[in-house]
Amino acid sequence: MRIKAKGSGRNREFEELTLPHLGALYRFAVQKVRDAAQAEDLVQEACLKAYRGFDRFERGTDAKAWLFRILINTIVDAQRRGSREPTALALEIGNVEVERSHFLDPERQLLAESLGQEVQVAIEALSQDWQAVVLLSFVEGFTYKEIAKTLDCPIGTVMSRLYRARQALRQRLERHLDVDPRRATGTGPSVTPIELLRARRKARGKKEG
Amino acid sequence: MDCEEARFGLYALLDDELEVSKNLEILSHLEGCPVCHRELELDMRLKSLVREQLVAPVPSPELWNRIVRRIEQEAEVARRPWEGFAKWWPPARPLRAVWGALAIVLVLSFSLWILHPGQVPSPFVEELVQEHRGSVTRKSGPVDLPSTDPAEIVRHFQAEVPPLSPVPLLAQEGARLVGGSLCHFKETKGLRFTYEVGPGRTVSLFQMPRSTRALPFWPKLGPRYIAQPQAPGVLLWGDARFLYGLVGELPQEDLRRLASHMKGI
Repeated sequence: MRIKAKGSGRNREFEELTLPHLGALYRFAVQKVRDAAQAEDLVQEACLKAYRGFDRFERGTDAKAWLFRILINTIVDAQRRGSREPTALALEIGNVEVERSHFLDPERQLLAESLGQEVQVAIEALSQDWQAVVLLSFVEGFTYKEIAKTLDCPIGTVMSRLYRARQALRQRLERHLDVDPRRATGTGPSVTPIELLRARRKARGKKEG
Repeated sequence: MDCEEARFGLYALLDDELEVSKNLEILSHLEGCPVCHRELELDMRLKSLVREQLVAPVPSPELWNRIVRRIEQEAEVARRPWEGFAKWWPPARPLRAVWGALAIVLVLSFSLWILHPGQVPSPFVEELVQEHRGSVTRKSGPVDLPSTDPAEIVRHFQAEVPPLSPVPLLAQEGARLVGGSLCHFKETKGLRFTYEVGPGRTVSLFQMPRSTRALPFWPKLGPRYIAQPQAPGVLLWGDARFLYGLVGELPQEDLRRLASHMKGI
């Protein structure tokens, strides 16, 4: 479906920039609010905001980061509006972010029967800020620079949040990590992690060269 | 490179965020260090575990269509704003709307009251005319204090009327000051200066402070000519402190000419 409102050139440009990221935006929203209908509403609201402010979007810059920034602000606003929901809170004591896992209902942990659920619970147990960097980096494949732009914070902060989030996840999912790394990476039995990294570096070197 | 340094760069290496030279350094360390190598394996496993296990939901095919429809609706409302109004009217909370409407009416009334030049209340104009007529027909003479010096008249009545400054003066050939009187209007006191403008013809120049509700609020008034059927003409004007009225059996142009030659104002 095409936008038929006035300004066909602007509309087409907006569609071209937004539509490819709709799935990722939705995926991120679902992870954040854990409700499909609410996630759709949030994505819709974010897209509307983006359309309204499209004239302020600097052409040539990263549209994905721009859209995610709007979505994250929309989610934060929605959570603020319904701040009665404790799950939406990122707990901070001074500058130290506290993992929410300390406050998780033990019953809920027992309910995480399958591996998928366990990973989900582990992600949910992270503070909002840590969750955001993990989802953007692991799932959406954002670079540190893109994450910094999206969350409007320095790259150092992104790295530190990612480091701490990884440590926390490793602790919670420890028993599932201790397997044959070749199988774990899904790369087949003949490639070790180092070989994989070397191959990637080579490919990158070629691309840059 | 030691283990601590290598560990620090491990995640960045894994996320492909390191410069090529740093990348190589860490890779060579990893090959010779089983402990760091194990760390790398765990981190790689963690990343792929999260990627694999997190359910990747897909939005409903209708989502984009819904977004497009909302955008078009908004654009339509922007083009035809009354439709936006029709959407929220009648309001869900009528009482709130009533208060809102009342507030709007109040603000509009106050703005009109402030901005409108103000109508001079007709009873006040009538008072001026009566005062002028009374002075003409008075047996004891038209003035309480005969004098050709307006300053003297002001001084004489200063206990009753706040000192007028500057003292008004109709300085035109053919207009001769004969004296002044104290006037009592319904809501204020003022001074009347009587000028002879011809044989047996006088005009009254009134000056009174504006501290009265009967007078228009607007600080800059007139000059405004108020035609009185079968009665002398009245020309009114004012400044922030005083209101002036020139009353006489003269055509409007003559009254205006006299007022335009008034000195000391």
